[in-house]
Amino acid sequence: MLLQLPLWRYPAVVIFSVLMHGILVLILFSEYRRDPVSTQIEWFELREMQLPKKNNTQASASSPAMAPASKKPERIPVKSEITVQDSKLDELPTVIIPPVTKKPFAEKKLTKEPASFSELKTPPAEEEIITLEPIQNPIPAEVIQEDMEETLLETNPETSIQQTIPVLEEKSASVFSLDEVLQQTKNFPKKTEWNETMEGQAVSNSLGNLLSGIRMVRLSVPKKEEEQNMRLDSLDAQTYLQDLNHFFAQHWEVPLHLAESELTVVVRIRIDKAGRIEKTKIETSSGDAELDHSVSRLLKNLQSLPSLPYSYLGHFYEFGIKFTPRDLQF
Amino acid sequence: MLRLIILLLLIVCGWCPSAVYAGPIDYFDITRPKFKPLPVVISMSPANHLNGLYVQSVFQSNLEQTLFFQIFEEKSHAEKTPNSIDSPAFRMEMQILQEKPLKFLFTLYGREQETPVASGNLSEDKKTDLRQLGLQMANTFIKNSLGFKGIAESQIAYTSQKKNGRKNIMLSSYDGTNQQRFSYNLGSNNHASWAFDNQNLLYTTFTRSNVQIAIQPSKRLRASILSFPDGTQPQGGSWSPRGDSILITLMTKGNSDIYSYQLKNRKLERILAWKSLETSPSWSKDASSIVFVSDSVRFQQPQIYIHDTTKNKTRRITFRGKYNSSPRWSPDGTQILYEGKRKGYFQIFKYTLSSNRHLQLTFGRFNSEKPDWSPNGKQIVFSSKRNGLSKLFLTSVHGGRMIRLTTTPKSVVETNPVWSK
Repeated sequence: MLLQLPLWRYPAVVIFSVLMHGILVLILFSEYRRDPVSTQIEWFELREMQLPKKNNTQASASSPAMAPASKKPERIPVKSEITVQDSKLDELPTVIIPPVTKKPFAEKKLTKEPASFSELKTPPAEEEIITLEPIQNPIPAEVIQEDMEETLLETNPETSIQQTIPVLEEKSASVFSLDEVLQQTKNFPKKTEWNETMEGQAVSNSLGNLLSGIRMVRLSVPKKEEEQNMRLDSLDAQTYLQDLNHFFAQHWEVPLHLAESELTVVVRIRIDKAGRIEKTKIETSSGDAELDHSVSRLLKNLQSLPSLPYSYLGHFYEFGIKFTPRDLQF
Repeated sequence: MLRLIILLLLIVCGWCPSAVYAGPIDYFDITRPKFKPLPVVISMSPANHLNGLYVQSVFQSNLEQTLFFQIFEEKSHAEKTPNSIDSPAFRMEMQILQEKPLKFLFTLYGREQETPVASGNLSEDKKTDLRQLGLQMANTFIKNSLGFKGIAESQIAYTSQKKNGRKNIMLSSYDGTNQQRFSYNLGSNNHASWAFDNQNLLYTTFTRSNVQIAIQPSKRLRASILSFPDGTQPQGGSWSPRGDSILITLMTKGNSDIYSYQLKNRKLERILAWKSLETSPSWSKDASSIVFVSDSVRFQQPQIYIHDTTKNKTRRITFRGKYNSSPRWSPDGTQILYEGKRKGYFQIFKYTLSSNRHLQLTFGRFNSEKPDWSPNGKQIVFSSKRNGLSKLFLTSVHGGRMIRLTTTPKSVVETNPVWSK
């Protein structure tokens, strides 16, 4: 049909097409800039923590840290059966949240028993791990300086020995409300994946006993960002390059006559965070059959690479490797 | 045609958004692999032909001498690597077409290729004996597989000294199997140097009364002696690329300088006359530069210099270590081999002119000295005292594994090897 148009209309079609694509690119680019790739989890500011009335009265009794902040300053308990690492700003803990679809709230028993230590230490395989980062405002209650201690969970459940570490000085004591936060999450259902059935639902028995009364809100990651590749920062990239160099020095074998040559094979690799190879592709061949063969054989034999630095937040990492047999090693 | 172009443009425009999505990624440079020889499988039919087996053994030993190949016979390769995914890099099939004179059909295949990389006939004749046939086959193989000149027919001259005996110049084949004495005078002979056309060798003869420079054709046993003015004492020399002159070191009044000696008219021309000692001169292949050794900076601490004869400029190239000497130009003139003393032992180094990079090729607590290049610039020969007495060794120009060249008795000292050009 297109071929039957008069000839003078073709440039107009091309210009129109280019313009449309240009607009599309601009829109996409502005979206990209608005939501930078490096942020995958949205963080909410906690202002005030209030004890919920309907859930877990016993648990709340054993957790005075959940008391309203308007009262006089409270002390953070140091000898509760299950302790919470919530008072140290610089090192916020890793909170383990099970998938909400597995156990409906109706079937779940709220237990007053503390979770076992082994359960806390080793999360089930299907659970998701979300790492909390420090927020700008400090935690709720005002704390008395001399009693500020953080309690670490002991690994041996039989002995139940607790180790205490002095906590760094708090600079301010502003308050925040968890309910406010939850209210905010309701206002943004798309971004938080909040729905009404989840309201009032407790978190897992392990975490639930730790943070009694806190209802679970899953922080969502937009699907588009999940699929986007992130880059390592310079320090991590340097460390990872060292790991790769050490790794390939043991695995990459090249014929001797190619030593000190500047021929290069460029490969694109996608790995998951543990280093498992998901996809490989030779982007540019060297032109030398033996060097190309050495790299393709290497990729064929490899199943994983060194794992990514812990600080890397992405789900996968796509990067390139330039294989050049320039340096000598015998 | 125009409509087709427009359609193509539309398609290209359609791809634009996807190109925008492909963001930049990190690239890592990996530059330090493990090196290994290429696996090669050879087969011959009929497999038990006596002369054929001899030719095959010569071919095989010369290939292994290069250090670039690891040879398997067809059966042994299948047994050693039954489940290996790594197929041989090259496969050489030899078929005997004729018994007398022996005639071979060789076919060379690349990795997993059905069509041959090269094939041809090689046959025995009056000039080519069975050994020569094996050497020719090795050279053909290297040329067609790796793309550079084979050196199976090259020779290595060196100084040999038996216990309590005089020093003599010897000639060795590349695989070390053929050794023959070259110098037959009554003096002690040392410091051999090949002419660029391999027709002549010059060496220094030391007698009780004086020191002489001798020039001898590589295929004759009679040498001619060069004469020098009274009061001068020659100390080794090297050929110019054109073969009409030699560079020599002349010692006069306790000082040694570098001279050019014209062979036709016996004219001496001073190239460098510093107050310090200058020795070991050699021309680059394009005859534009001379590399030499001088202790001009510190007495008895020789360093290596390059003198540009066209610009009349000299520059120092070694700065590490207190003793660097015996420089040798590479065949293509881009690199220089030399020996340097490090932590009490001499080691072999390679200097690249373009990058000013020095690379140490030998290691260990023993002396490795007097390196020289193979004609194709892919290997080096040097003398090493790794087992007590000095013996000749070969290694690749990148270092790594070393193999002994000769199989002489333990009491024979072998030094100053020079490879034919």
